[in-house]
Parts: sequence; structure tokens; C-alpha cells
Amino acid sequence: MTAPIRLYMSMSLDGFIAGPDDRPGQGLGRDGGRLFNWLDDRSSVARREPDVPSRRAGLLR
Amino acid sequence: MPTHQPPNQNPYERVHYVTDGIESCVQQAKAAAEARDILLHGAYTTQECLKAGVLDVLEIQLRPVLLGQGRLLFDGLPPEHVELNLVRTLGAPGTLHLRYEVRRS
Repeated sequence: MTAPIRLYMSMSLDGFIAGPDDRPGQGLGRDGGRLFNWLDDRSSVARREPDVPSRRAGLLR
Repeated sequence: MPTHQPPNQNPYERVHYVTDGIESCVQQAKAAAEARDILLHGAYTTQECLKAGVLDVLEIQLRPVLLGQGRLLFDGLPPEHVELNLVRTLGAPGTLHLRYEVRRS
């Protein structure tokens, strides 16, 4: 029984795994680093507050 | 590393370029991995493995962002449905981990 082939990737909600112009030297494309700042989000608001949807609920009219 | 054209020089002894197709690449990877997991990465390899029917598990870290443009992971697939089973979800600050197994008919 051989090991499964497993894909492991970060993806934006609209299905992208890199920004535009990905190429050697800029492997994630322009601003593609946004896909990876979950590994180190020291500067993001999410680190300071728990992500509780009810706190952020608003009303769109 | 599946490729149509390997580079002239390969300084990495553990990187192997395979030019005779994705199935050959997968078979060589399975032989080398033995019982260990084989992770694949990259849009091109994903698309080729899906088309060849050799991709077993998709683990996606879904980021709360719309990039608007860029390289689509699931680009260039034929109009044939690939059914998936969602086997695990894991919510974490700033990301949603999704694990799908490819359903085999």
C-alpha cells in the first residue's frame, strides 16, 4: 500500500495560489506573500483579538 | 519534478527531473517515498496529477483574501467533474484548513 499523493497549498478564496507575474525570483507573483502571512502574522489585528464573528457583525443596507 | 525540459545543470542531488510524463513522475516518487507521505506543490503539477487521476488528497489552506488576479490552482482542467469528499476542516485565526479526498469511482 503506497502513500497517497497529497497536495498542500495556500489558496485565496477566488482560487489563486500566486499573484500576477509569478516567475523565478518572484515565485508568488506580485504581492503574493499575502497568501503566507498566516505563518507569521505578528503585525495583524487578528493576533491581538480573538476572531469572534459576532463582535464584527454589522448590517449591510 | 515533472518537466518537458530539465535544466542543463542540476546542483541538487535530491532533485530529480522526470521528462516522461506525470505517471512516471508519480511512480518514481512513490518508490522513493516508500511508506512516507508524498506532498506535491504547484499549480502545474496539481493540474497534471488531477488530469491523470493520480491525486489522492487536497489540503488547502484557504486564505481570507481575494487576490483578483494571478495563477489559478485549478486552471486548464477539462470539463469533467472531479468529485471530492470533505474529510476535515480546521478553523484557525486567519485561515481555514480544508482536507478533501478525491472520490474514486
